[in-house]
Amino acid sequence: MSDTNTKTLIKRLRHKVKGDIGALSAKKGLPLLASRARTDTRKYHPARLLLLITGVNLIPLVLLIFALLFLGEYRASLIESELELAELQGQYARSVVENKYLTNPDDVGSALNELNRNMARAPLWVMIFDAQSGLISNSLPADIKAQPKSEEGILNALAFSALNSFYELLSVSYNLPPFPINKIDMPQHLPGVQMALDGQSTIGAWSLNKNQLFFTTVVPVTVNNEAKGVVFLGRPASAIDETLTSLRNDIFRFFLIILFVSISVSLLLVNTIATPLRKLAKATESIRQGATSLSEIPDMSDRGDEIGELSLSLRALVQALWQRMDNIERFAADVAHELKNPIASMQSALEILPSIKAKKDKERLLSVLNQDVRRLDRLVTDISQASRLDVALSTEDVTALDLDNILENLVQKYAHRSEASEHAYTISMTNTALTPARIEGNAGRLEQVFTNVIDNAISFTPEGGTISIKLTERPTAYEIHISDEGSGISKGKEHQIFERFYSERDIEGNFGVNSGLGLSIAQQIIHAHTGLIQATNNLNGGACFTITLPKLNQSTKER
Amino acid sequence: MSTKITLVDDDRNITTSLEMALASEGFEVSVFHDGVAGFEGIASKQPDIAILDIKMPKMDGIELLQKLRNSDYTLPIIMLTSKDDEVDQIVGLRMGADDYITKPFSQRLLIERIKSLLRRQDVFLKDASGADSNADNENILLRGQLRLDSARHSCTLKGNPIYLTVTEFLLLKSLVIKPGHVKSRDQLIDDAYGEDNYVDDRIIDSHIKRIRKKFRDIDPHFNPIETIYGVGYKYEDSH
Repeated sequence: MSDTNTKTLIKRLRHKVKGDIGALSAKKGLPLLASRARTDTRKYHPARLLLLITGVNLIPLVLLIFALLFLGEYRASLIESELELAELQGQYARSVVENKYLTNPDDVGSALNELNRNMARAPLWVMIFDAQSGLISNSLPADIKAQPKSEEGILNALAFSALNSFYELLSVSYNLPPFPINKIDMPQHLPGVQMALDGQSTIGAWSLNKNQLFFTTVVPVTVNNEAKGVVFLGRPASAIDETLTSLRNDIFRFFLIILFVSISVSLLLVNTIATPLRKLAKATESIRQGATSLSEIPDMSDRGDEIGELSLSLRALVQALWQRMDNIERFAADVAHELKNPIASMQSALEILPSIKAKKDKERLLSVLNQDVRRLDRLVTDISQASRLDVALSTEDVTALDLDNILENLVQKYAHRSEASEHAYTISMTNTALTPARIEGNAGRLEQVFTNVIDNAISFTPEGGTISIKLTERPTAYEIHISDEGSGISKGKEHQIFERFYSERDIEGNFGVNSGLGLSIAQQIIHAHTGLIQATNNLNGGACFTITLPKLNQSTKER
Repeated sequence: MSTKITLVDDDRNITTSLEMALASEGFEVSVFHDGVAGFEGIASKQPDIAILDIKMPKMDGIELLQKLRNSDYTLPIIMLTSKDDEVDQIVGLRMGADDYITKPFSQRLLIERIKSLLRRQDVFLKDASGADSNADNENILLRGQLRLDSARHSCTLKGNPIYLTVTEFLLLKSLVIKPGHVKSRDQLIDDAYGEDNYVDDRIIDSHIKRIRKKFRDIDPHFNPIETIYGVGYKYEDSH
C-alpha cells in the first residue's frame, strides 16, 4: 500500500517537472522562433538574425532548466529513501510499543522515551494512542507548529514571495498535500490515525508550512491479534530540504550568471554582426533603389574581419557596376555617334542626288551611298559582336591550341586573298620559337584577333607593301608580332588606338571598311585570354602590334 | 567673286555630297579631312565661312576652332556635331562658334544657316558701305575708351584693336548703342542673329563671356557689360 502511494507521488512529481519545462521553454521563445521560420522567407526580416543569436544564446539556459528535471529526480529518490526509512521506523516503533504492552502494559507511555532515544533522525514527533484513540503520550517537538504570519515589511514579503514563486517555478518543490497542522490539538483526527485503528498502517509525505517536507508513519499496535492502539511518528525531513535548497540556490546562481553571459554575448554578437550587416543591407537597398553616390556603402574595412571584407567587396562591386554602366552608356553614345555619320552622309547624298545632272557626279554619289550602306552594315555587325563579346567569352570552350598552325592557315588565306584583290600586298611569317607554340584558348576568337589586326595592318599598308608576322618565344609566353609598312601610329596614341571607334585613318582607298571596333574587339579577346596586346612603331616607320599569350601550362585553367 | 566656304570633315562621303550641294548653290568650296590640314587651308584660302566637324583625326574640331579664334580669325563658323548630348555644342559655342548643326542634318537647313550667317554679315557690311557716303560719325560709337566702327567692323579699346566675330560685334553693338538699358537675351539674339533664328539662350552667355575676355586681355579692369540676373545684360558707360 505504502509502496504504491510512493510511486504515484513520484509520477506526479515527474509530471509536474515536465509540465514546468514545457511552460518554461514556451516563455523563452523557442516556439516563437519556429513560427517565424515558417513565415515567407523571401520577405526581408530585419530582426531574424537578432532573434537567432538571442535564441541560440538562450540554449544554455534551457539546458539549465533540464538540470532541474534531474533535481526533481534526485529529490524524488531522496523522498523515496525517506519513505523507506519511515516504514522501517514504523515497524520498529510498532515492535517497541507491542513489546511494552507485553512486558509492562501499564507503562506503555515510557516507550516514547525509548523511541526518541533510539531513532537517529530527530526531531521525531511520537504519539502513542490507545485503542480508543486516546492519547497516551505525545512528544511534540517545539519546531513543529503553525508558522506565524510574516511580520517583516510588506516589500520584503513581496520580494520573498516573488523569489519563492520563482524557486517553485524552478524546482517543482511543494506540490505535496499540506500537513493539517491545525489539527495538532486533536491528534486523533490527524491523517492515518483512524485508519491505523482499523488495522491499516500508512506512510505519508507532506508539506509543512509550505516549505518543509514532513513524513508521517502511522502503525496499528496489536497484541495477540487484539488492537491495542496506534503509534504515530512524524518527522520533518530537514536534511532533504537543506540539500535541495543549497542545490536550488546553486542552480539559481548559475542561472543568473548564464543569463547575464547570454545577454552580454547576444548584445555583443548583435552589435558586431547583425547591426553592421543590416547597415550594409540598407545601403545596398538604397543603391538598388537608384541612389547615385558611390559613398553609399559604408567602409568597414578597419574591422579587419569578414564583415569588413564584405563591405569592401560590396564597395568594389558597386564601383564595378557603375563602371560597367558608364561603359555601356559611353558605348551607346559612341554607337549613336558612329551611326550618325553614314546616315548624315546618306541623307546628304540623297538630298542632292535629284538635282545633279553630270553623270560622273551622279555615279560618285551612288558609290557614296553604296559605301555608306556597307559601312552601316559593318558597323552594326561589329557593334552587336562587341556588345555580346563579354558574355560570349565567358561561356566559350577553351582548348589547347597550336599558335603556329592557326597563323600558318591565316597567312595562306591572306596570301590567296591578296592575289584576288586590287590592293596587293605580301604577307609572310617566321617562327623562331624553340618549342611548339602551344597555348590555351578559343581558336575561333584568337583567329578573329589575328584577322582584325592583320586587316588593320593591310589597310594601312601602301599598295604592294609587306605584312610580316613573327612568332617568338619568351620564358612564360609566346609573342606574335604583326608589322606593316604604313605610316605608323602617331606619337602618344599607342593606347588610344584600342579605344572603340578611334580612328587615325585618312587613306582614301579603304574608307568605310573599318568600323573602328576591330582593335578594341581584339584587345577584349586577348585580355580574356590573360594576354596582352600592344602597339608600337617599327624603326622603319610602320606599326607593329605585339600580342603576348601565356604558354599552355602557364595559363590559368579558369578564366 | 563668289563666297568661299571651307569644309573640314574626315568623313569623305559626307564631304563629297556636301561639296556638290554647296557648289550647286554657287559657293566656292574647299574641303579638308583633318584639323591640321583644315587650319592650313583656312589660313591660305581665307574663306568667308567655315564648317567644322568635331570628331576628326590629328586635331579635332573643337581644337581647330580654338586655334582659329586664338589666332584672331573672326569668320563665322558652324560646327557639325553628331552627338546627342549637348556638351559638344556648349563647348563649341563657348569656344566661339557661331552656330552648330546636329548630324544627320538636312542639307537645306545647313545651307539656310550658312546663308543666314552670311546675310547677317552682308547686311552689316552693306550698312557700312551705304553709310560711307553719309557721315562717318553715324557708324562710329564712342564710349569712353571703347570705339566701335560698324563700317569697318572694327573695335578698339584704348587704341588697341579687338578682334570680334560678327556675332560678338553685333551683340556688343546692341548693348553699346543704349548704355544703361537692360537687354534681354531674346532681344540680343534678335539683334545678333536676325529674327528668323532660333538660338539657345546659352549662346548669348558664352559670347558675352568671350567679349569680356577680349576686353580683359587689353585692360584687366575694363568690364562694362553687367549681368542683370534673371533678365539679361546691360552696358554701363561709367567704366
